[in-house]
Amino acid sequence: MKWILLFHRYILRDLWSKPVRTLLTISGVALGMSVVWAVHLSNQRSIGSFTESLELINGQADFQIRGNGLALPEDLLEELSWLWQEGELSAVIEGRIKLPNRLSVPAYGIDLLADAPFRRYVAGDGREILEHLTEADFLGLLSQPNQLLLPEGLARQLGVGSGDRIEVLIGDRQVPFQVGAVVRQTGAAEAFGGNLVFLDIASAQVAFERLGRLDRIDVLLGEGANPEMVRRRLEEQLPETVALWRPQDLTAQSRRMLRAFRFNLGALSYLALIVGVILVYNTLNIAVVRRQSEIAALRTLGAGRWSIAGMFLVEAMGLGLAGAVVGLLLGGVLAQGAELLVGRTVETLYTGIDLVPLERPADWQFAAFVLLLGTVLGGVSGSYPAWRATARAPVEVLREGFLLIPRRKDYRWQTALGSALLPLAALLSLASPVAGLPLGGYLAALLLMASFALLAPLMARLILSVMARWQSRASVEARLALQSVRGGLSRLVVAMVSLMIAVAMLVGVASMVGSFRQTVQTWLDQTLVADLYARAAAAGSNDWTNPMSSQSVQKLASAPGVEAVGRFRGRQISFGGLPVTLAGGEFEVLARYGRLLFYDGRSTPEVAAALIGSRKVIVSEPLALRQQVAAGDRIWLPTPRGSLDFQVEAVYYDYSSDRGVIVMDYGTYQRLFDDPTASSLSIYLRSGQDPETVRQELLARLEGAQIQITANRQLRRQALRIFDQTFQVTYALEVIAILVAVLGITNTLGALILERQGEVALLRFLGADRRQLRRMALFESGLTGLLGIVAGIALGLLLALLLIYVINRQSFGWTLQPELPLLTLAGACSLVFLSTLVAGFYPAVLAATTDPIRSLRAE
Amino acid sequence: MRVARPPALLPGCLHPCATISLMGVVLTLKGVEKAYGLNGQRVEAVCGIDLEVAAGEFLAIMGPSGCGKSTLLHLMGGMDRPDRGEIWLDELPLHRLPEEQLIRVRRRSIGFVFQFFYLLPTMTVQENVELPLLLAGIQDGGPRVRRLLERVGLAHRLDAFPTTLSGGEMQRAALARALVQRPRLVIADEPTGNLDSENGRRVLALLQSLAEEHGSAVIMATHSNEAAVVASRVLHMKDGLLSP
Repeated sequence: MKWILLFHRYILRDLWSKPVRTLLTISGVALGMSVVWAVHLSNQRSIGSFTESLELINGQADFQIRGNGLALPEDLLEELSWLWQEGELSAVIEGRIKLPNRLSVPAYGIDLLADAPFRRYVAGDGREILEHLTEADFLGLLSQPNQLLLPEGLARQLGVGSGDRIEVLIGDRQVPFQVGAVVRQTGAAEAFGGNLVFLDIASAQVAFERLGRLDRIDVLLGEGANPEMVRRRLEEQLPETVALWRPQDLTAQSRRMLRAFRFNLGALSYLALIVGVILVYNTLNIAVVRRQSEIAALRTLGAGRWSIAGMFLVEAMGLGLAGAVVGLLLGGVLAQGAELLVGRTVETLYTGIDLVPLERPADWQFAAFVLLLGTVLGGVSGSYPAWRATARAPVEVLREGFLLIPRRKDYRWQTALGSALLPLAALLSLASPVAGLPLGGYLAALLLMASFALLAPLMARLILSVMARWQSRASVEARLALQSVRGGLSRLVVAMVSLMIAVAMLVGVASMVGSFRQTVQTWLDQTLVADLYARAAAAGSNDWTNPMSSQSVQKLASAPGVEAVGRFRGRQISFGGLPVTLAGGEFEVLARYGRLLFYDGRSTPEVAAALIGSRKVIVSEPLALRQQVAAGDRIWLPTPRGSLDFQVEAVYYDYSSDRGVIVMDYGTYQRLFDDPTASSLSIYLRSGQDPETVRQELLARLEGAQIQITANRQLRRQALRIFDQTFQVTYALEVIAILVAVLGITNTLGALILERQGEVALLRFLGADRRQLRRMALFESGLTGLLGIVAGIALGLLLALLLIYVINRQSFGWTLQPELPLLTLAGACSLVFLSTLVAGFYPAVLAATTDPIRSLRAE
Repeated sequence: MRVARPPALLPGCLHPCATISLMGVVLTLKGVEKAYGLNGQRVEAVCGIDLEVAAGEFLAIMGPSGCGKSTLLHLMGGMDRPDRGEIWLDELPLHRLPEEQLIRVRRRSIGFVFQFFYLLPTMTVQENVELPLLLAGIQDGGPRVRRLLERVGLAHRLDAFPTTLSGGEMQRAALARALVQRPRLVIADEPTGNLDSENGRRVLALLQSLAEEHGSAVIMATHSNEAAVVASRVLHMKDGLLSP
């Protein structure tokens, strides 16, 4: 009880008596926490919505029988008739269609008679559609082939109801459908936020031109069935290219695919938190120094050393907790924006499906974790100041009375430790990834930050001593500011470190993104050389289910003005536990007109010559790095003729996706897969042809076939726009970290000005006017900012190397050519510097409004 | 010889030896030595002092700055430990008590008055005075605090914060804080050093009368002859040694 009372009188009242500083500290932690919470929510709602949608679509199935990138023959159902005795079977066709509102959505062809045990479909009046399917309903859905089941939200979006007609795009065709029923957005219709459609399997086979073929067969075992026995028997019976999946394997594969993205985003979200925690440390450190004599008096009166340290520790934990509480509220708001950015990035890079964030109850477990994290981090950051509060013997403090001279600290041990951490960080950066994640790289980054934080006083002293040489030429205010910063370095250094870390991350990430962008641009310049590119209008991003028909390809290839077309046909397979693209590419055309960049530096014609007509493939760099595949290796790939081994001829640079691509020659692909369609076409024009004119001619020639034809320049612009879009969330996180660091500077300088009120008052007595004091405070702020920025740039450049050569490479498998975006960095650092000047306004006002008589009397 | 001897007779007082024998010894120092490092130099602050202070006695220690007065006071107040020698507060060996026990002794038996007052700025006058009671776990000290503040003339400033007080008021509040526990010993380090002569006199008079009322021994370090006049015994300190 007595400690609660003392805590209230001694700690809480002090916090309340300095509301600006308390608010700044809490805001710093709150911003950091809000980012962690917002990124968690957006990960959970956007990425989680994808994996949860897969679970909803997979329904109750115990197994799924899938061809690995290949369709299953319908006859397989008959061959598996013994399974009916063990449970239920339901065949499914999977595809993607584009709706009239340009939304590309998954479409599932289901067996209306067999699907009820697997998935729920609830009609508008609440009845379970498939369980209570009347004969009339059934015949209705069956007799009119192009019937769609639409979730109610989607039906509303499209402005259609039961019985209405809509035209959808499938491949390069426009197909008329009728809305057979509008279902409630629950059960299977809840997947992908209700952005999906269902149709009868027979209609789906017709619509997707997959007559006699299936994409998967779901198996639901009945009571008494022995899953292990069924699995063994199925494995014996099924051909090697057909895989038996448990639904959780599919979601696990998706999670693995998104793991590096999630991990890196999560890691970045903790950056602002680190800066926020430094802010708590800073606040407490200043408070402890300011209150040394009070602490000594308290100890003299009989307060124990650890009791006082405990009060400061509780204060730090309280600040952390308060920051976490505000952070949760703020994070909920930030999450709205973050969800949008994260969802869009995941859609573009991985799923190709418009991810509708899930509406789900708040994750109280993670909210509790955030609160705990805030409290623990507050405690950790406050532990040193708390210890320091009582480290000096009270007699020593009392002997000095109010003339507490800030000690000129000896930074020898910090410098030694900081220097020792550098080689350790270098060693860690050489470590291999752990489970595909660059843990060594991140640890190295943390060590680098710690090392620079320890070396910061030394760097600051060096910079300040250089500046001091020219101080005779500076104004009085600048000289006073310089002396004040040099004298108060031990306290300013913490604010400097927080800004240094924020700036370093800005420089590091901006350099990595700049290098990435430049690399992609160079890669596009060198490899995107066709005049026009074509794909089916229905195709979404990362969508291999909507190819162009061979007729359309033929029409485009034979058009006047077209010199050559290079076909590319991709399909998704599972390779090494991850979804990758297996494709056929026309290397003859590529060798003559196009270009790919290979690891070993060989020319495209040279590699193409080795590939044409052979069982060889090339693999993209992300796949090679993440799955440890190298030129010369043999890999097994699923084909309609069974699983065949291919030799890896070369590894090529590819920045279009980190999912990984395996490409064989189109001729080989045709021979093995007997598939005349193409996912995309590179169109090379005869010399002198105007791309736009030919594009128009080609569109006219297609006679209703729905093909998107994009000019080279437009495609490049699109690629770079998507690139910039994917890094928007990164920039948003950076800005928040900088904001927290700027709060730190305001906080520290404000506290120091208050602490030096006597000194400021003396300056007033000696003739300094308010304007001079204001300017002096602004100079101090600018100088502290400058120190943080200079040190931050040095640290940032090292972090950039880590990000480029270790973290990005191990996470996504891309080699980036380092490129310093000087203009961006100069602009960003100038903005940060300006914001540190803005941060100086509050201390400047404090300095200028100091009442000299009262202040000296108080001293 | 380094043993401090009491003066033969101080005006208006009993012979100190007689006082000691009558009222009992509160504090005993035997061969106390203390040195500390300052800017890399070893400073012999206290060089073997023997001393006895009786209950109710008002001892003034005078001497120039840096002669070791404050160090000696800190040793006597259980704030610091001697390098050599013994310090007894009644039956308690302060020189070898563990820190926890020393803290308890300071809470219960020793009051401190400082030159710079050291009132806690976040607490009201009443709360500052109440602080030693709070630390000692005494909940119902309100009436005692108010009575004491009335005695020192601060009854009307109970809820004022220290920053709004004058120097004299601050020191009177500090005095009340030092005596609120009715301590066996009051250590006052230059209590008038920061006050004008009028306020200084008032504070000393209060210190003397309150200590008498509570039966507390007072040891006061001071530069001021005027302050020393109120003491029942005056000792001079020079180069770490006490002399009459």
